[in-house]
Amino acid sequence: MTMPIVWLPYLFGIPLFLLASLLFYVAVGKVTVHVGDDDWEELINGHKIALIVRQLERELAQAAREERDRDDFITRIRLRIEEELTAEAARIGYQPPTRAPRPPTAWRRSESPEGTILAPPGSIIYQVLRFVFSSRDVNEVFAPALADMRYEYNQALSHQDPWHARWIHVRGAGALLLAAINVSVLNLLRPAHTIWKVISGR
Amino acid sequence: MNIPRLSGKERLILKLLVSKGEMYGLEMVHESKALKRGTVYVTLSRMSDKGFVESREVEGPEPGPSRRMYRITGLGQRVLAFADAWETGMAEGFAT
Repeated sequence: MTMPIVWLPYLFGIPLFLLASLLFYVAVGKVTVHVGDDDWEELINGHKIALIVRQLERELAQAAREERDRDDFITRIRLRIEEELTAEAARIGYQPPTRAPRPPTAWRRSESPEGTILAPPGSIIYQVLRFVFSSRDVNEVFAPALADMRYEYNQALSHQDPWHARWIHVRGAGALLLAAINVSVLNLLRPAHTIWKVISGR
Repeated sequence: MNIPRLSGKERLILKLLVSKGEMYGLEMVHESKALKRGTVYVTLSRMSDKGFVESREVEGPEPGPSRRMYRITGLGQRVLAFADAWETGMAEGFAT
């Protein structure tokens, strides 16, 4: 039996794409951070205070050009900054960030000093799967797999084990890809099975 | 009579659900070495289509997709009982 040439991309292209996606995940798999509402507020308030400080710096630079007594100048700078920051913090209800441990289910990045905000684990592949597959397949197969993977991931982070979390991330991505292959094969075979049942009269 | 067939994995999942009650897919993977993360959800989806299991979403604290908890249905219990009886009958038939 000769195989039509139209099947060649499906035979070689899809497995290569999935393999490349898995390798990409292995290469760039990161422990991610989840930013909750409190963290957003902290970021916004921190930005406001940075603007105030910048404005103060401009005012004080102007004053410095006119100031003769250095010690008195520095003291006034300090007092002015404290007054401004205290007043602004009281106005916006800003609380200084505490360093208490986050809840064990929070996603965080333990290694990055800048605390980059990243997507939760599996987000990219989940978006791709949502684009490629039907909503039924996504809800029945991929969503529970991803949710369980994130649960395992959070468990590993709560045990202070970021490397195990990375491994769960990579393994979960592989499991999602394998599930995608299984669903693809089943979706291809289902019409063929229906046609066979119609032809055979079963 | 049209009797539903059970694959090995489907039977294993039904037995787990009978013994443990409601379970997540991940718990099934942890309970059995034969079940893998990449295939268990596909099998559960197929079993759900056949009516052997039913599931409900469990909302978690994080945004995003919810975890899904599975339990066996009455049809699943009957099919499992029939499969067990069939296997027992076959074993006794071969023994005599």
